[in-house]
Amino acid sequence: MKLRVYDPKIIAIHLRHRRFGYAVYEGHRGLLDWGVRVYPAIGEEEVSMASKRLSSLLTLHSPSVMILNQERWDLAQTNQHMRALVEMTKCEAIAHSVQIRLLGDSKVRESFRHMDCETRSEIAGALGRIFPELASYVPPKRRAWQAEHPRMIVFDAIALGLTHWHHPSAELLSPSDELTPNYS
Amino acid sequence: MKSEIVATGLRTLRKKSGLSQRELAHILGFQSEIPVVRHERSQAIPNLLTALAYEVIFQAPISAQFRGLFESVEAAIEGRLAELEHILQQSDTRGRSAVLTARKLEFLNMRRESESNQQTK
Repeated sequence: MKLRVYDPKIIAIHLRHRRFGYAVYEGHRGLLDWGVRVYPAIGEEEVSMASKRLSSLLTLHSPSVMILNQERWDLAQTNQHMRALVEMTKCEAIAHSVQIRLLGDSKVRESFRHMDCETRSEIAGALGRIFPELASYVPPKRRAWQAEHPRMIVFDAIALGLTHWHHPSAELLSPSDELTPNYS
Repeated sequence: MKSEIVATGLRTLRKKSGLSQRELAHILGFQSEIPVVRHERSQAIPNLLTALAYEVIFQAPISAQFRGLFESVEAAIEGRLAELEHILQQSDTRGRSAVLTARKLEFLNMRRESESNQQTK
């Protein structure tokens, strides 16, 4: 039987209320899938819908690592709503044997600094250049009076996933780890 | 055929092309996008004509588009070929059938060598 070695598959999730952006990578250049999953409900129903959406994604792609945003994870300390979503994410990670890795916004910005990108909008533009298939989806620059573009959450997730490959040495969390406050 | 839900390379190729599932279904001649959804999730195996159509559309071999399926077929076939080789090696034939057995063994050997050459490349 032939032995084939593939790059590890990872999924980056950018959690928000009522929606999350996701990006699936196989190696740092292998962007396999990306998009948004919405769960337009409130309370327990929202968590239940989010759980279904995340579970179907994890079943579909079977990643080995899930990358989450550190700030969203820390927000779970004070925000009960976000805590429920983070707990749900941990449960799904355990159910699908996926390890969790947390990456902060500072790490994401650091990864894109060499491309002269500081803002999320600039990072989205840089991602459009790195992955030509995303070029047509790059959200237009937001004006001060405009709300965030719905597609921006996808680019947040894609940037989060790419940052994982730039910082491979950071430790992985076991999904069963308790939520601990980060005061650093 | 209903099987485990696994993403195929088809989904990645479609997303990279910018085509929607409905557009792809229309190109393939389907009435709705449901067959494309099922093919993308490995919930259904496309028939030969549809698989060839996917290869024409995305200009990528079917084996790359349905990697998981290809690997499971490959593993099953390799196993049966090894079984056949073992049976042929054990067989005690003479005359014309011995020549035929030798030819089959030679084919299996050549096949294995070309495969290992491809792997070293």
